[in-house]
Amino acid sequence: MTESVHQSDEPPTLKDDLILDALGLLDESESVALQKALNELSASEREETRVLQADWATQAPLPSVTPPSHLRAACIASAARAAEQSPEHHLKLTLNRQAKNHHKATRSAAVWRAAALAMFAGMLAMIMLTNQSESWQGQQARSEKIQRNLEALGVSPKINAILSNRDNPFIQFGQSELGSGQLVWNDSTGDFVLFSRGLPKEVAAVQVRVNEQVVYEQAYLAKGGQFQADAVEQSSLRNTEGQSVTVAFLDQDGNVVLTQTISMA
Amino acid sequence: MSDQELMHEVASGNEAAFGELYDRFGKLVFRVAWQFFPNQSESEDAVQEVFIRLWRTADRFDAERAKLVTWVMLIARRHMIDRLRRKRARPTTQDYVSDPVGDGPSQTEDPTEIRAELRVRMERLSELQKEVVTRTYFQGFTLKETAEQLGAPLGTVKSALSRALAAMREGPKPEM
Repeated sequence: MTESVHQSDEPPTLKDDLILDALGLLDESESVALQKALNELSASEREETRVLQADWATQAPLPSVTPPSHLRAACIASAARAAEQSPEHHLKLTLNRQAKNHHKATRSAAVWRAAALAMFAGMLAMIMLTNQSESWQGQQARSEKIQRNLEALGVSPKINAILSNRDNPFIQFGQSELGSGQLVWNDSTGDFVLFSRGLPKEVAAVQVRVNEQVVYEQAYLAKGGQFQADAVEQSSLRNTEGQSVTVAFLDQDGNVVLTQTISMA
Repeated sequence: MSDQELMHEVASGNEAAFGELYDRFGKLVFRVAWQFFPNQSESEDAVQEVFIRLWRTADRFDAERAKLVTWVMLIARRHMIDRLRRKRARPTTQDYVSDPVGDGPSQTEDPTEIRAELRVRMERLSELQKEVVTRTYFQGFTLKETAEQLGAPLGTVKSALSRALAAMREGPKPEM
């Protein structure tokens, strides 16, 4: 026990306030009042307070844990999603992402078909590329790129987190000849996660509809005609009572290949 | 890149700058998150939310008023407290020092060592300091709320907390 421990009845000093402020423990009004007091200090004294606070923020008593390596990409992907969903910020953060979300409630058929055709062309190009002989290094690079993209979407932690909770309701696609998929939502976070495997090669996109309104669309990426990677995406949809949620996989012409609906009573 | 330049770039939507912001402070924010939500999934979600908040408030950062690490800590802790209150659940100190739920993050230390270290640090405090640290630092109550709960003057709570944290910091240095 240190000497200072016995002095806690003493009135707080400026240093006490600076420490508490550095750790975010002051109320906002108190923080503002402290800032006003600091404005009265000289430039050198102000610098001393900045250094003191930075030292406390850096050396705060905190658990000795290390973030997982995928969290960096997940943070960037989350910011990108937030940018897309926030009208006032939608132009502020432009990140390169392999799969783009479209959260607009409606979308014209012409635009959709154009996007689907473009994706189909991309699929063909990828199939052709895959059929060509490629070096081991090339395969490695491609595999790593896919992994990076999946990490950027925050795939593994979110899936693991949700699947570990058996209480989460989900839509399950189980037809073996058509592939499989799940739409899972997590009430505690309000997130939806969609993932699928082994879908027929004509599937070019997926839609999520809530009460028959399209709220989410995503183009699929294929390799060698096979949808080998789990395609996962989150949205800010919320599951509410009385809601009917439909997941539909579409071909390049926008025709439904596989669909499933669940209604929440 | 200076703190001010970095946040200017973040505010303008520069992904590389955003990545650098994470590289500088991702670990610190994760540790703050883990303090409040000691399980991997919730901590990761909270960290992501904090970085979104940092991006959205980047244009308000003023290097003349505080260094960036202080700003990040302020935003992070306030966000954790907001999140905690939204959950309407307040972890106890026991939760804080208990084993993590789920598979947990990659840790540089054994969880039992983390527990032991925190227990030791808490044991060094007076009863008042333990109460104040538990309620404000770990459970997210405001200083005023804590003062009311304990029936103590606000100034006493503030000085007790500041000096308790100083005493806790004097233990083995937590890694950055």
